[in-house]
Amino acid sequence: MDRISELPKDILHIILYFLSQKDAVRTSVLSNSWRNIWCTRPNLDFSDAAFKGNKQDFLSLVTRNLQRYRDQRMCVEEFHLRISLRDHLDHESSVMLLERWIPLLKNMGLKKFCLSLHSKLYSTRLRLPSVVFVAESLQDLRLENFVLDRNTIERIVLLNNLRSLCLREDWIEDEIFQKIIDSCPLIETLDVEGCLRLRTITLNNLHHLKYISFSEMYDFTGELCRNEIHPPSLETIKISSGNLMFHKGADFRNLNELYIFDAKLSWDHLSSCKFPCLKHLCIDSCDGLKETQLFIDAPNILDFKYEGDFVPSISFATTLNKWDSEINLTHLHPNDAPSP
Amino acid sequence: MAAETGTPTTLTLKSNDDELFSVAESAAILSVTIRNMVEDGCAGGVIPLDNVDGKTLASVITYMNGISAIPADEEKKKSYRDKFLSDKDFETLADMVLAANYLNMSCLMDAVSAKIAQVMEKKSVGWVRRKFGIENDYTPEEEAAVKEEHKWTFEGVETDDDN
Repeated sequence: MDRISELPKDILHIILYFLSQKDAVRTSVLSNSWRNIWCTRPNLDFSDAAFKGNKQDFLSLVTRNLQRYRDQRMCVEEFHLRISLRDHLDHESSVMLLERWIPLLKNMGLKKFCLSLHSKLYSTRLRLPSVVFVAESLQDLRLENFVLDRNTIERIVLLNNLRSLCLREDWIEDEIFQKIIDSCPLIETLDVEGCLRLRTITLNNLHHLKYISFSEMYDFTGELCRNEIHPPSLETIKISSGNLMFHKGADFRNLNELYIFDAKLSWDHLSSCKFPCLKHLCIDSCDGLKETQLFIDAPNILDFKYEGDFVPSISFATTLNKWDSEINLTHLHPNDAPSP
Repeated sequence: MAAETGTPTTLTLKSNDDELFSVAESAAILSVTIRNMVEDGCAGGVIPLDNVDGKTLASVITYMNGISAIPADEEKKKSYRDKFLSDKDFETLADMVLAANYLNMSCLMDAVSAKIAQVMEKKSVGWVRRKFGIENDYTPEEEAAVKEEHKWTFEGVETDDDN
């Protein structure tokens, strides 16, 4: 036999893990020994985009596969599902299917769950079934374009294994967000984008949080969502079109990277914070800097980038290494240019 | 373990074709199999690795030294892995994935598997068969039946010109 077909099944599963569902299933045609390898790979990955127009085929395929894994008591470590809505009928049937599919995953040792929805209907989202939050094995959860409300978290359990949460364009209110966060005490990575209903969120109970990214967080009135954090554990902060509370004199003792784009911050407070490990700092398009003199206490800085349409007043504490800085001034009117 | 003495401990690994290799313990324990032996105190003399030949072991040790020299920076580690695997042919990759499996090195295992998967990505059945020398032992009727069963996976893939 050839080398690849001779590899142990466990290894072939890992190879197939890195393929799309379509590529993985197609390997069944290679030869007899390949016929059923794909059937037991540890991940499922479905997108109705692969089914040009034939939604019924897509829906029955997903159902068949999930049932097969369950009937054979196999693990689905990762489940990715992308669905699109074309009309309101799709909406109804998709809600029903999610309610049928997600419970099947509950006892399958699910570690990573990515659910995304693409809708051609303006701002149509689906309500997320409450069963998403009962899989205690979950480590990584990504939700795009869903409504998370009181019903969603009705049956929420303590997600002690959840390390990473990513929300994109979801409709979620502060109270619901807070309940979810409170049930995931060990989160290390939090990535929130375009969740416009969030106003003020508090993350100071997340003592393991290392990576935080907040972007596109303007609400309808143009206000930016504010969020409060627990500084010592953080290694990376990325804020883009958002707001972050820096407490006076806070010690960001593990922060390595700070990226601030179009953000509202308490710059005075930032000036009083300590960043003993900070290596990379980037400040871009922050109008609030016009009125303030920023002081950065980051003795280990390696590179600093600034971009904006005015020259800010920024000074650094004594640094220990040679470091790079890159200043880009955009749209600067000749009359506003600083005199040499 | 080495920490108390202050000098880095070196382990001696022996391949199944009796080649001996010296490697720093701090790099070798990337292998959970070796780490367990060190922790159980059975790494004193020569560590025999019965499932790995000398050529593959040399390559794995290059990887162990390279990756352990990079501090905790996932991006840099990833680009090291990509570069390390970039010039390897499939035979070598197959040897490495078996070695990584035996040595229980999940990072190398994943990187090599992803590399092999990358070769198969979006390719037609005929192309994959030729590339890996897979013999088609289906009868034409059987093959047609399997293809029919998974019809949807053939949309948007280059068509096979050889069957």
